[in-house]
Amino acid sequence: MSEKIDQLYNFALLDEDAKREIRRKLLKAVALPGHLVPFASRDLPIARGWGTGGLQITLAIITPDDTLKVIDQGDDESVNAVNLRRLIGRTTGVATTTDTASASLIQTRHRIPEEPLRADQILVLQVPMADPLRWVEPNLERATAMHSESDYGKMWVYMYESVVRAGDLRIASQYPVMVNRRYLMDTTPIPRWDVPKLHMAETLYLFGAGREKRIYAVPPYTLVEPLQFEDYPFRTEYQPDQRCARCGAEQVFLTTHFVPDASGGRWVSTCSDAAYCAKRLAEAEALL
Amino acid sequence: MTQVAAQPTPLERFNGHAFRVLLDCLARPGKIGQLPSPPFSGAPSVSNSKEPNLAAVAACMSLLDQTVSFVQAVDADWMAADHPLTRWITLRTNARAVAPALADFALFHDPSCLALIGELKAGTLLEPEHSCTLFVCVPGIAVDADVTLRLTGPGIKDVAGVGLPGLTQPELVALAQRRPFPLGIDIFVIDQHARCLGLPRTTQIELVMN
Repeated sequence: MSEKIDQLYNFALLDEDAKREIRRKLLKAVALPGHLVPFASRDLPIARGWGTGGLQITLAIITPDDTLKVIDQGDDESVNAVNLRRLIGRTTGVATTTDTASASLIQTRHRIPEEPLRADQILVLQVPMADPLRWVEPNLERATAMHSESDYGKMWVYMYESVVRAGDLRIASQYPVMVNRRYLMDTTPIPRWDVPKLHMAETLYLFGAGREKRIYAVPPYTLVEPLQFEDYPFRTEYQPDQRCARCGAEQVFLTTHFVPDASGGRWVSTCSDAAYCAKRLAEAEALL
Repeated sequence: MTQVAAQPTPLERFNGHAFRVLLDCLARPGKIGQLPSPPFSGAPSVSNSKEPNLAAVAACMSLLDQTVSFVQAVDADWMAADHPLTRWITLRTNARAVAPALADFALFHDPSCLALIGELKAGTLLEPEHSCTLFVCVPGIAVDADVTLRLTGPGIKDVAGVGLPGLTQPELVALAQRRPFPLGIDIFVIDQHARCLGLPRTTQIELVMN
């Protein structure tokens, strides 16, 4: 009886028409790698800008057989990830996990997991700013025309000015890439470290920008080339002397945080991907 | 965790599963997906002698609603808006039956209709996503033997081979004809065993002469 009353919503929250609209747009996005496809971006019980684009994609594609993982800045336990996971879990009843390898559907903000993703997995990214031309052409209509003509000269000038001003390509996140040698695409706020993971990947990447009302995609085995100059090539944040203070991993994206102690404190680097770090620690302990 | 939502109905479950197969097939051209069996039956005949491929009809219907339009063809000719099958689909989806040049979705009930592919809309440079999504029913899709199409492009590691036995040379030529990217039509080829092949506009199709 009470179970019946509790079932207030449709499976996966969105109504079937909303899901169908997103599904149709996703198919077009996959057929047009890197192209921004407008979609309705309906209202959700969370505010726009808090991952509604990624959430709508997840809700539109999730099936009862999926195993879901949600991360925010690489972490399964941060506030955005916990709340989105709870919302999706309560409206679908799907199994959730923190283990990248056992998830079939991963929704993420700001990171791509360190563990290599497989062909049977889908990664859904929450996107804050969809259009890479925003920095050089704020008018959306003109930017759309520039995309349609593959007219990216202004972006190259922007890159050049970045080198002149800072002496390097000082773009920390949202690094612009060319997808399939046709469309310029923003790589969401993922760090440069994750950008090469988009290139000729095994996994399907779906991007949703709820506030900007845009969906785009990078299919598997697609060319994703960062914009770069011959003398100023694209570089990741990798620094050979840095490693994770917890698990000792070196070939990972690290975050630094301040640890106060008696002598005033120090900066400590740890893995950004918390589940990966915990997995490595558990493996190391099992060997002891 | 308390559940606040009902589990999907059989039709919603089918639509969700069918979409994941379609998405996977479109993202990986050359991979053959298996569509789930539709939770309904009783679709009217396409013509006197021909029953529709229910898997293809259901897959197409899973994407239709009142905001989109569709068109159907059989025996190399467009089907009328008052055809029993068109009315049957309209009644269940609320999608509008329109002229080929306007249709968001097209359903070709046999490969001979591929001659009509040029009449479907291919989008514009500003809005390449406003192009037709086409479902083509074929007798069979061969995976290992009898490769007739060689596929390259995004979603394919090196090159993928797939066979479409029973298609004539002109039909294969019509299927392989791609428009200059980013314009184009995205195609799902569905056979009688509900197997599905995705051919997005990015896929370059080369005919293999045996």
